[in-house]
Amino acid sequence: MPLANIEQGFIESLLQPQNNDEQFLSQLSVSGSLSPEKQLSIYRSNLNGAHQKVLGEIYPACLNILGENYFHQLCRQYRFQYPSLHPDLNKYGGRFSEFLHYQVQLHDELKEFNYLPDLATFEWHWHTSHFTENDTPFNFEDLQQVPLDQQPKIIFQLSKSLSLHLSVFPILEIWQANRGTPETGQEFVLPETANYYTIYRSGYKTDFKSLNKTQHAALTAIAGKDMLQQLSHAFADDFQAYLVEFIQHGWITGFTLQA
Amino acid sequence: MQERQQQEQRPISGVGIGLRSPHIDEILATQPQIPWLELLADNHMAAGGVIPAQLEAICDLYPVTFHSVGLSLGSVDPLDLNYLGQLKDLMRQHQISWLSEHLCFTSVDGFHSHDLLPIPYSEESLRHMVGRISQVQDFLGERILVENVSSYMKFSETVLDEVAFVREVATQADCDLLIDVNNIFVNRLNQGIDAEAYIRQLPHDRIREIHLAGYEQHEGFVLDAHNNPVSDPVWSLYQQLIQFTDNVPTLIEWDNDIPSLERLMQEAHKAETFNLQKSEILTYAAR
Repeated sequence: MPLANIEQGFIESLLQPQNNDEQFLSQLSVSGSLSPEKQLSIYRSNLNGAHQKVLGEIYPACLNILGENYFHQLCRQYRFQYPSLHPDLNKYGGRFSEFLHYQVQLHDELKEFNYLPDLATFEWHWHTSHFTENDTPFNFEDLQQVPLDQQPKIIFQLSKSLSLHLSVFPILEIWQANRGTPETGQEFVLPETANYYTIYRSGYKTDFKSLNKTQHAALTAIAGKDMLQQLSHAFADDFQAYLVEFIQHGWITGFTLQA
Repeated sequence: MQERQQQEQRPISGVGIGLRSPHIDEILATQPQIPWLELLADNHMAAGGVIPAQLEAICDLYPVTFHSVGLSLGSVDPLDLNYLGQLKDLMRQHQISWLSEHLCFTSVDGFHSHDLLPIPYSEESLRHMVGRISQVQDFLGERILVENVSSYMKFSETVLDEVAFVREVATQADCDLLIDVNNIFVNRLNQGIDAEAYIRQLPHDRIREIHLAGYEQHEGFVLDAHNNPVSDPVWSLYQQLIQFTDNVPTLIEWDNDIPSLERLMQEAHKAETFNLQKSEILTYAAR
């Protein structure tokens, strides 16, 4: 059998639930005391272990809430639906929130954990923020040199590490309560309004901050490349104060001029 | 065959340790006397944040080699030139002494297993592996080291002994070898290969690095888990191997259930002792 067929059969057997292994197993012979089935199961077990470990490290709060057994079962299903497509294992697991969204709808036992998809979104962005490209500090001198008539065309740039989120659940409190040793029996109060927050990295440290609705809207508008003129109009007197705050936090790291 | 420039940036000698993330802060803070370090390249390719800064700091202090798994040398997929380019840039930027990879595949059809998956030791595999290694070496402009892997699988397509495959790959690709002694022993226990004959039949002049690691006992087989001290039989095989090699650098590789740095350095010291004993015997014999 050509090498390509052997490799494809091997990967398919690893990445699919156990069925239709016969063709690949027929390529194997007994090795020591290991039957072909046992040989394949060792690699399946290695794969499960590695993927469970990396997902557990990225989603520790989800792991603590669901418990190891259930979390690992979900990891196995996730691996079948969303196999790794990148050599960098740090990039694996980005669709776990989407996966959890469907699991919560499918399984009655998950109904009380309907915040899990939003929690997973938080944990994913917390994870990826560690690895994003470094920003250069905001250059105030460059800003001061922009001619007055050009200033309305300023388009601010957000930190490469920054992400913006909203949730109807108190995700920050849930995450903080469950990222370490989980606190049992803690109840969370559903907020009256949505939670807005941002995750970002300052230097080497990843952090988060709650936002009010207007701050979230302003940062969203900046991310959408609204010009200063549009931002000033939309957010009126608040924007100047926000601009200073956003630059001080390192959330705005530069600017360009609309052509 | 295109002559490859040997770009050994900094001398790699003696017994080093595989540096893993739990020890990075301690190494940078205390700067212990370790001849060299090996980094898992795939763990140090982040675009920003603390990882590139740590890599720079480590490479400023110690001679460093890279050990990667992402090239998937044995795969029938095209080489990931983007990944290879990143490796090359990092190696140049940080004067990494050499790159080692594995005689296996980790991905195919775009799907990544993140595990070292064996290939049959067939003539087709040999041709394919030689071509891939040559492609990588041409791209990097230097030789790479390829490592023998532990395998729990026996393919009907296999026609060559593992050591014959390793020997032919090294000769035909004009590459160097990283010999993992624990992997030889794991394959002995799981597949019944003759470990002593394996060591004798290796192309010793191409061995540029030796790995030592521990295995994990399971019912009916042993797992190359890299989570235990080096076992006594592996130390024995190591002593046999270094009789055939001339001061080849050795690395203690401990990837899981990682102990204290002090414990790792005890393993390194044990390997140094065996090398010293060999030197003393040779000195005595020369009188």
